[in-house]
Amino acid sequence: MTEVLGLPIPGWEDGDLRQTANANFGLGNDAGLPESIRFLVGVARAIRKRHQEAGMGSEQTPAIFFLRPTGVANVSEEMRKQPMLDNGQTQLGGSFWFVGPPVCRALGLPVPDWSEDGKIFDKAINDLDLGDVPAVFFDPRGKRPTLRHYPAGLARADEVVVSALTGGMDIDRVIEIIEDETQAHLDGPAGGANLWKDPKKHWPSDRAEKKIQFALKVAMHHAFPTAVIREEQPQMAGRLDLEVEEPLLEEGEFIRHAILELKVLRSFRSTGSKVSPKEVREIVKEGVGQAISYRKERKAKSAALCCFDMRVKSAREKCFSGVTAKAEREKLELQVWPIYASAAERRAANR
Amino acid sequence: MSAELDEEALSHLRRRVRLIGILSAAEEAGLVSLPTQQLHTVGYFADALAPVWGLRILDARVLKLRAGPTSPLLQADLDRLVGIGVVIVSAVRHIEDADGLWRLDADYCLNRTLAQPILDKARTFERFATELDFLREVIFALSGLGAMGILSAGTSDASYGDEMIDLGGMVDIAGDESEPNATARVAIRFRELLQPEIALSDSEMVHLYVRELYRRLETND
Repeated sequence: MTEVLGLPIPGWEDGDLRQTANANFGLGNDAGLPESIRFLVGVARAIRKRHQEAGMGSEQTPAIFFLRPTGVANVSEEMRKQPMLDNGQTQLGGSFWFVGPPVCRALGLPVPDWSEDGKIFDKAINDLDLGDVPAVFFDPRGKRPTLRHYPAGLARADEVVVSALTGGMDIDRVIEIIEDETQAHLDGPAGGANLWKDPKKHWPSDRAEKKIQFALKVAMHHAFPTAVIREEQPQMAGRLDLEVEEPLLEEGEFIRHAILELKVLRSFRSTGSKVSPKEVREIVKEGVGQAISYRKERKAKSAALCCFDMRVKSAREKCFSGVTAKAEREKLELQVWPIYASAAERRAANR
Repeated sequence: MSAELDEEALSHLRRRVRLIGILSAAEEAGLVSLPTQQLHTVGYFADALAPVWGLRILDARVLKLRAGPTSPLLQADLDRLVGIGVVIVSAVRHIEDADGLWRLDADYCLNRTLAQPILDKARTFERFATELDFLREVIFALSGLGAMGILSAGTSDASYGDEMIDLGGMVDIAGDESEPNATARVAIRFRELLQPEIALSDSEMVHLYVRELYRRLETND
């Protein structure tokens, strides 16, 4: 008997629901991600589930997943319809899989002889005309199984991103990913993140935090496709911004690697009203307190306060003075990245 | 009077946008065209799970038939969309359904040329954008069941599968804010069970609910 809002629902046992939740840890967490990243995350989850159900050695042969749920027309053999590809029951290796962004319903095309990767790629690119279809190559043959993500298709090997299926999610790597994402998309107006309401006046958008949070979530998923990245988890001290979890092979078990508290430092609000240096110091102090508290509450391995400095150049003092000792004592990472309002400002800073 | 008319017009609009959203998401998931009964079943789940996302139910009463949830309102909206060319109908045929009744059946897909501008315009309104995001998750979750699985999903559903409602009866999923329908309550129960360790997102609850249906369908087989 399940009780929701005080009302029993006969036939829906809590134990069954827990089991389903544990068996499908993180399912649906990828909603809202760009299609190509959601596809990568879905493939990673399907493989993890396969490893959970059949063991790490269950897959010996590679597979290629294509983001084209309708499959290909120019093949002689009929493609196999596979509902719930991600339930761990289906042998994944030795096939081309055609899936949508959620990677559950699939069409499979067996590849009987996988002795040479080159020939397989050739078949996909030239015979089946799949060279420009986003793809993920799953290779279980090395010491650690890897995923090779081709967001622009197998024919664009120069754009491949390689990721491991397990591990590597320590705080140093997390910070590195934020650094890369900031430089690629956030710290200048050309990055496309649209963080400014009026860059000429140095007025940040009132949604700057949300936009940064989303950009970092996408970047984390891209770098750690097996991770579950949670936003806005409610806590005693507020709502934490981002959390990096690594599901383990035991159902429902996971490691909570990092808590990230994100703060935007401003000289002006989106309305143009001024933000005083004292207010900025208070925001940083508050962020330190929140990050430490969240890490303890959530029993995370590490935490970082990540500040995105959108203040005018003259105001960019050292923003962590007064909090470094506490952060060090509590093993809290403090990071700040400048966000420039113009390409000229960015160029000048990098000179 | 005018407010009532506006509300009715908005309700019509929402139901039609919802159908377009369902067919669009189905296409993304690889279900290029949906047969009549699958479309009715998906429409039913889009309503039954709407409270999980804090959205309004558009069609609260469906007919309980052996073939699955059937909504005259949804069929009327669908026929209208076919009439104006936004939805394309194919493989029109007569079939004898599980209740021994002969009825017209067909496959439905979007006419992208006409449907895409509607979807693009709808996305500019926060309310519709949220609704379209929700529909996408419902379809993505259900797509894993495959065409046959979608057809039988209703039988395991917490509301539609309620044994207290006989075949031929009406399934009412209206509920209210403090007491949503049984389907939504089970989905929300996932979040309650995992708190405070994890606060599931609305999307996770929808996906987990469908996986629970899948587990039940597998067990019943």
